[in-house]
Amino acid sequence: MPVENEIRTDEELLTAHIDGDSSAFPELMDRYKNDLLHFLIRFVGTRAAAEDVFQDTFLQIHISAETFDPSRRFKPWLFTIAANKGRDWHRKHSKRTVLSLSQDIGGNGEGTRFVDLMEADQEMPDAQLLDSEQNDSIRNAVDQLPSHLREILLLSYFQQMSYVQIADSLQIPLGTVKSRLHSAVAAFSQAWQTANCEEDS
Amino acid sequence: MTSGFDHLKLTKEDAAMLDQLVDVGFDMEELEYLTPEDEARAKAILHMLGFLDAYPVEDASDTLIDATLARIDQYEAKRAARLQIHTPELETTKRGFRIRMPDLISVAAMILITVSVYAMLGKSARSQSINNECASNMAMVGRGLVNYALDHNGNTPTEQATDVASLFGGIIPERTDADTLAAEGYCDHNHLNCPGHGGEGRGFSYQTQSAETWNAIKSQGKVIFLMSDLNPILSKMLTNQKYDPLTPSPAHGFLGQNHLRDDGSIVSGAAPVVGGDLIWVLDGKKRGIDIFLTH
Repeated sequence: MPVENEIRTDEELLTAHIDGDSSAFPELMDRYKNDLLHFLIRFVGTRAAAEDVFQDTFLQIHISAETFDPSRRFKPWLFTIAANKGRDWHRKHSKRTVLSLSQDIGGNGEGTRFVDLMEADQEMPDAQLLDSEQNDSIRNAVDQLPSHLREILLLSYFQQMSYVQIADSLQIPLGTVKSRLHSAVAAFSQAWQTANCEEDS
Repeated sequence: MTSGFDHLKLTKEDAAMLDQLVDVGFDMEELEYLTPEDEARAKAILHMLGFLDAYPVEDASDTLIDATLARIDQYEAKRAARLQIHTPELETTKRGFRIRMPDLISVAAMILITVSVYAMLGKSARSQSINNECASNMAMVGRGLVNYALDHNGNTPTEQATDVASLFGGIIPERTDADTLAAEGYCDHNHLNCPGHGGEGRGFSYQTQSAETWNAIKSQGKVIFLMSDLNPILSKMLTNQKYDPLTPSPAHGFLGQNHLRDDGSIVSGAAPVVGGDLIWVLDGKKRGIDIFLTH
């Protein structure tokens, strides 16, 4: 029995929820509400959609709670389910515009070079100093990434999940995770670069 | 899955640096022995990814958790409605357990399988016969419970198990009231017994839990074990005598025991689904809601 006022781990909260502790699940949701909602807003693009997927995610956690192995960490499991729900959302709402890249930067085997991007004509502003228009450009650049690249970029960068964790969570080979992250970063760089060019012109 | 973006790739050096950054959670200070070129490359990657932080996001509203809990409640209500047998023309008159629609064909098939399995195992004919009769009686009780539920808005009869309250810290638990079932003609009194123990007193034990635990068990949506062969050590527990918690049922030559589930089916023999050959307490796997049998 947990000591009163002792902070329970995520895994303990989930177990308590299964055992009928009605305060455990709200506490678990409260713990992750902002982190998960931010992830989902970036993944599905709008707050309204993200809130829907947030609810889907915790409903799935509730339904599948008994299948959770308490010897493992809760957080990666939560974000795995959220990513799956986010992908489902993308499948249902697949009317997306696809960015048309003006140049095939991967076609000659050289690939995108970050140094090139850094040495491009336009100055790269500090992320903290971006105005709302530039924030929209960032949003557009991320939103135009296909979901299978975007989820890996977000899981990796924002949730700091390792390649192994992502591969395990999404049930895809490790090499695929790596190549998708490489593509995602290259695509984001390119999209951001393109957006900046359009803005300047 | 591919897209127009999948062909995009980084240079070999940038990709290698990105992999290193992933390994250290994008904390550049964790990277050791960087050449000036590598350092510039890492900074460039982090600078680029730093723009992701500018993606506009908002914190969760106060109502998001309440809305999610409401969604879960809605789901549970729908699930409960699905599990309940609908008899809209009848009012609920008694409180009890909801029971699921039985598949009598499955029940019959399971009994036949039981017979076949035991025949193959070559157990003694006498024990075999007792076991089969026991399973048959349970099946009749199961059918009676289903019929009772059909007449009582999906609920089965329950009774307060005052005689075992001492084992529940003074809380009076509840269990299936098979006597009412027989008294109201939904099964025969003879069916409430296993021939293996001479037919004296109550022949079966019934899962017994506090009302709170019953709610917890039912909320899990799993098949519930309602009845089993007689708990051989209950009397010792009630009188604080020493007992072996692993005592199996002697009812049918230690062949195992039978269990009635709330979908009307019978699990027979030493089936691993109920934790081996134990009769009186069945491990609820990891979560520990045990099935406690009293009579």
